[in-house]
Amino acid sequence: MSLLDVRDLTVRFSTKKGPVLAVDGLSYHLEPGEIVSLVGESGCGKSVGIMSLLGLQGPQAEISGSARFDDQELLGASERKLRLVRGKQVACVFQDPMSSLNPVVTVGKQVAEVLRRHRGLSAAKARLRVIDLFERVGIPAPAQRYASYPHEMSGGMRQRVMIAMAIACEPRLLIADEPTTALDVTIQAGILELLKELRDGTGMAVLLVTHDLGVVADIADRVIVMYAGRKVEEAEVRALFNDPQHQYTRRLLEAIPQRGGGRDRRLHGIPGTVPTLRDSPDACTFSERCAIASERCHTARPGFAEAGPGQAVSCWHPGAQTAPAVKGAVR
Amino acid sequence: MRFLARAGSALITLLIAVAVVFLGVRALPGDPAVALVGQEGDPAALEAVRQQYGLDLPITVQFVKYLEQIVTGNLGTSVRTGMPVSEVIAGAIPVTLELAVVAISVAVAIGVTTGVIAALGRGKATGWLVSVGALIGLSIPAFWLGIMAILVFAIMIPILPASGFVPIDVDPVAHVTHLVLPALVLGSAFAAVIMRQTRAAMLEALTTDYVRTAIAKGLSRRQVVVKHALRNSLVVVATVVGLQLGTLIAGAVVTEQVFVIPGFGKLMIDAVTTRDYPLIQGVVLITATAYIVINLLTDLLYSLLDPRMRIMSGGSA
Ligand SMILES: Nc1ncnc2c1ncn2[C@@H]1O[C@H](COP(=O)(O)OP(=O)(O)O)[C@@H](O)[C@H]1O
Ligand SMILES: [Mg+2]
Repeated sequence: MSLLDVRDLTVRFSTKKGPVLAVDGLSYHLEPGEIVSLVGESGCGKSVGIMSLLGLQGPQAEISGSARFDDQELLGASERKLRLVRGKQVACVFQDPMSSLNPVVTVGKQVAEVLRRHRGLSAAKARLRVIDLFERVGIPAPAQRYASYPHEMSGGMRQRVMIAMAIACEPRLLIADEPTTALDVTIQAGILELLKELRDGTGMAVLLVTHDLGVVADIADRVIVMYAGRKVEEAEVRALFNDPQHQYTRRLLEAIPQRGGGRDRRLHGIPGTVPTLRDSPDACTFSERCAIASERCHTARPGFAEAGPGQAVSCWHPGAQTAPAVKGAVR
Repeated sequence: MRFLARAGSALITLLIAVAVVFLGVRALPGDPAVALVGQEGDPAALEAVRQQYGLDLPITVQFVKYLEQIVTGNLGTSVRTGMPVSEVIAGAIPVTLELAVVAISVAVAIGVTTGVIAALGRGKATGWLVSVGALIGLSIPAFWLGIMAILVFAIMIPILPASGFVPIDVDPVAHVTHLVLPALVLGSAFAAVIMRQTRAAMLEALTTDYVRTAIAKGLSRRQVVVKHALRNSLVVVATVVGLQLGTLIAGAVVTEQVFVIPGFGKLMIDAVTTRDYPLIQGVVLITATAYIVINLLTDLLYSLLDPRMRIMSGGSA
C-alpha cells in the first residue's frame, strides 16, 4: 500500500475572469521512504496541488478527486481530522523561510509549539528537544539560537529552522515546496543534502516540489513532470535524465543552469508561457509551445501511456528527438 | 541612538510649540487685565494689574522672562485665581489621567475583541454586525453620546450619577460610579477606531505565510488566531493607540465639559474663556509635552511588541 495515493486531483478557482483550472486530474503515489519530485514551471499548479492535500488552500478552491494518506482520505476530511495529520504525520517546508516564520516569536518557541501540540511536552522538555533538533539540522550554537528571532538569522539557517519544525514529530511524509528557491545557490546544496540525510536516517518520504530539474538530479528517486496542471511525464530520475520522453521534459533539461552559473534559475530555454487553463481542452496542453506538434496534437488530448520500465508519458510523439540535444544527462 | 535623536528633535518641537503658544495667546482678542478688573475698572487699577503680571513690558522681554520661568519649573500665576499655574494643572491632571486610562482600557478591551470577531466573521452576520456597530460608534459625536448616556442611565433609569466628580479619598464607590459614564463615552469612539484597525490587521495577518505555517503545524484555530495572527496585529494596534492619544485628550475636553469633571480638559476651556494667559500657556505647554512624550513611549512599546524594531533602535541579538 502506498503512503500517499493521489487520484484525479482537480482544483478549480472561480475568479472574476471565469474559472481557472489550476490542477487537472493529477494522479501520483509515494512509497514510504521515497523522495519524489514534482517539477514544472512556475504557475503550473504545483503549490496549489500540494496545499490542497492538507486543506491549506483557501475556501475559494474547489477540490475534487481523492488523496489517501496511509489509507485515510484527506480531501474533504474535517478540520479536526486534518489537525491530527498536519505537523505530526505530514509536515511542510515552504519556499520563503523569512515570511514563513512568525517575525515576533522566537524560532525556538515556534518549533517547540509543534512538540507541545502533538507530543504534549512541557515547555522545558520541548526546549531540550528543540535544541537537539537544531543540532540535528546543522544549526550552530543551538542553545543560543533557541531565543533568536527569525530576522536575526540568515536565510539558510531559517530554512533549517523550518526543517527542524517539520521533522520535530517524526512525520512519515515531508512536503517541501521549493525549499531552496529563495536561498543563495551556495546554500541550496546544503539544504538538499540535509533533506536526503534526514530521509536516510528516519525513513520518511519526501515530496519535493521545484521548478528546477537541476535540484532533482542529486536527491530524487522518482520525478513527476507537470505542465499546466497536468502530469505529462513520470520516471525514475535516471531514466528521465537519460531518456526524456516528453518535449517539455527535454526543454526543462536544457534549461538546467550550468554548475557554478548565476543564482537565477528561471527557465530561459522555453519560448512562450504556461497557459492558464479555463477548461480541459481537446488538445495537448503543450502543443502551442511544442517544436514537433502535429495536427493531432492540436485536436486530441494524448492519454498517459507506458514508455519504458517505470516511465510513462502523455504525448502523441514520445521520445522524438529534436535539436538542440540534451545537455543535462545524469552523472 | 535613534531614541536620543528622537528625544533631541522632541525638545526642538517643544520650544517651537512654546513660542507659537506665547504669540498665539497674545493674538487672542480681549485684554486679560480688563477681564480681571472688569469693564468699568478705573485706569489706575488696570495699570497696576498690568505691571503685576508684566503685561506692560515689550513682548520679547515677556517671552524671555517666560522661558526663564519655565526652565525653573515656574509656569507663572493664574490671573483669575491667583494660584500658581503649576499647582492648578497638577490638581487637574490626575483626574484626566484616570479618566483617560480607564477609557483606553475599556476601548482596547472592547476594540480588540470585536476587531478579532469581525475579522473571523467576515462575510458572516457576526462580522457585519460588529462592523456596523463600530461605524455607529465612530460617527456619533462624543457630546451627543454623553448627553444621551446621561438621559438614559441617569434620568430614565437612574442607576448612575449624571455628572460631577468625587475624589477617591472622599468616597471610593461614588468615585467609581461617577467615572463609568464618562469613560464609556470617551472610550466609545476610540474603541471603534481600535476595532477597525484590529480587524484590518487581523485580515492581513490571516493571509500571511507564517499563519499558513501555523496551520500546517496542526495548531488549533484558537492557537493560530491568538498566538500568531493577533500577536502580530497588536503591533499595529499599539501604534494606533499611541497616535490616537491626542484625539483622546481632545475628546476628554468635551467629555469633562459634559459631565462637569474638574480635569485638564475643563481647565483648558475655563482658561480660554476667562483669558487667563499664564494658565493657557501652561495648559498648552503641558499638552505639547504630553503629546511628545506619548509619541516617544509609543516608539518604545512598538519595539517591545516587534523584535525587528529593536535592532534599529541600537540593540543587538
Ligand atoms: N486563490 C487563487 N485564485 C485563483 N487562481 C489561483 C489561486 N491560487 C493559485 N491560482 C492559480 O493557479 C495556478 C497554479 O499556481 P501555483 O500552484 O501557485 O503554481 P506553482 O506551480 O508555481 O506552485 C496559477 O495559474 C495561479 O494563478
Ligand atoms: Mg509554487
